[in-house]
Amino acid sequence: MIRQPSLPVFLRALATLLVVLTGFASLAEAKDDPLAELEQQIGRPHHKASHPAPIHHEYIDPHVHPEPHLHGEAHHPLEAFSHGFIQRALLAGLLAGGLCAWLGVFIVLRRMVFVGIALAQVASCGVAFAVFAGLDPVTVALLTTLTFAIYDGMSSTRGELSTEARIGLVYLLAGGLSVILLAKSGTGEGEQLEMLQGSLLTVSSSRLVDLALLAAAVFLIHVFGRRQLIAVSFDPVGAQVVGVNGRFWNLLLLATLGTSVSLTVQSCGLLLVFGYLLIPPATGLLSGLRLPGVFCIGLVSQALSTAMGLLAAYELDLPPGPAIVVTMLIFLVIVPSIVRLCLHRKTLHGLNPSKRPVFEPRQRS
Amino acid sequence: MSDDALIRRFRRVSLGYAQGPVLKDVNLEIVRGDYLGIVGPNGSGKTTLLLGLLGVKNPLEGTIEGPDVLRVGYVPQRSSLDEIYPLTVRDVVVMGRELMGARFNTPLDLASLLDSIGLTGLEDRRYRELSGGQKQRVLIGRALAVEPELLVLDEPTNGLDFFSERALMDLVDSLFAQGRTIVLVSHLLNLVANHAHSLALVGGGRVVTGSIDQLLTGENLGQMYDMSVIVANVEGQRVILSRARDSRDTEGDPC
Repeated sequence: MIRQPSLPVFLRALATLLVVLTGFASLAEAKDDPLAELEQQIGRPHHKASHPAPIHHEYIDPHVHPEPHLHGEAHHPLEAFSHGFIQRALLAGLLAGGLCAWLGVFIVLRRMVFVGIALAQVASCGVAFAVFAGLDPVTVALLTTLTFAIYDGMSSTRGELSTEARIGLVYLLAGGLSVILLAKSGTGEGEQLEMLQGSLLTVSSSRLVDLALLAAAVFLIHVFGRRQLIAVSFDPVGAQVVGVNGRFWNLLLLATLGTSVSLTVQSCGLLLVFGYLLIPPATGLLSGLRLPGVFCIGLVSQALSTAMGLLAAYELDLPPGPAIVVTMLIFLVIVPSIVRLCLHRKTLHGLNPSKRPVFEPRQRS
Repeated sequence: MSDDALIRRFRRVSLGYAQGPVLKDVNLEIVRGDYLGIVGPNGSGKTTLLLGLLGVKNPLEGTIEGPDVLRVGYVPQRSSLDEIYPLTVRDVVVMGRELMGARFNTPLDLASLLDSIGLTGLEDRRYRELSGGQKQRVLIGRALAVEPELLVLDEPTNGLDFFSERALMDLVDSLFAQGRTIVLVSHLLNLVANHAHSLALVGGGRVVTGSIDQLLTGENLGQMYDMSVIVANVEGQRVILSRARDSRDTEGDPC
């Protein structure tokens, strides 16, 4: 009889998402001016007039946030999470990381990691253009990434140039334009740093709402379309033969990816988004589990990495984005070994006996 | 021929890509109970014909007729599937059926299916850890899981050793004996000659159909492959050999 092993995993993931959203709802009622709160934490008065631009346009140097323990005061190890801006940063990291880690499994399996980094760069280019032209960054980033995603989905694999070469050209174009546009925008240096390091510490509640809604939508699409998405990724022709519209599902995957990247780049920055897209899925795949296990390991490892990375950034006075990326890389080294060791022990105890047939050659007498 | 028996009928079909047609004026008919072999040189358009047959590629010209709903079991070339996917035998076998789930009244008896294709007890093994022959059986299992009216196999014996090839083709023959309609695409002439019952020769942008005896002659194959070909009968089996180019060049030379 067919077993349905993957559904409970998806339901558990959905339940986890709901728990996160419930926690977020209580926070959303809190102050919606992270910069004011941040400055309150560091004991400086907040003057709104000195910050006329939207909060997510401001680069906040994480080195300025307070380090109470440096002043010789005893503090709780998890004290960092008592601050509202760290709580929001954690939620933003969990939502953005969860989204990217989930979608990243498809990126890694379909060998389109380069598309992931190119999408993130195109989103950054969209933000740079918005800053330059005085437009809404989210809308412009969304439009540019969706355009690239559709272009990538529709473009033929045949031709003079390989897919990698064409995506590389787009990446270079987007990267070059980003720098030029930011340089000409008047506030370029700050924006550039923000895009590279992220602005997790200044994520607003409204941005968290956007992320939560997007995460809910993407997870729903992927829960209901998981079989189609896996089938068109594994065997495109075979999927079409049993009635799956390959082009539609491919475009849907790229569209969800483009939308997610465009929004998460705004909150987390280029480096962290690419890290979320690549490292947690790689951690899951290296663990040697089945596909549902890969998704679970990816989600759990990104969640733990985000929390520990933020804690490390707070305690050691580090920029949060790179701190989370380094923590994810440490998980990449440790987690697969632990999981494989557990699986090996299970096998040794006879719970998962190998059924490999034994080859016994016979010689002709 | 009653329409109930019809699986696919190509009428003056052209198939190809945006750059132009690969196959022109194809007339082909497959009915229930057929065992059709499709052979031709590399790059002749076998895969293009196959995609048209599967309904994945629409014709540039002409019409392809057949039942509105036809359950097709497709066995792709192993090399076309990426083994990076952490899928078990169970995951792969049920993949197609799960996507067509609403069309089946009874649940799949996976154990019996795996037993019938010689993969008993391997349902939790990783697909990528299997041997070439076992992987091919898994893909046949996936095709059989959709209870197909038409089973299409694309180069099923590529990369298999002598024993695995024989065992796999015995399995395909047994499926045919159970009443399945089979289409076997291969570049291996000996394989098709000894298993299929009718033939489609693909070459030069054309498709020629007929019985094995009609089409598998040294003259036809020599013309298709531009070389000297010998078709012999050894202990009831057709054996197709290519003659060394030197011997063809010197054919008729008394020296």
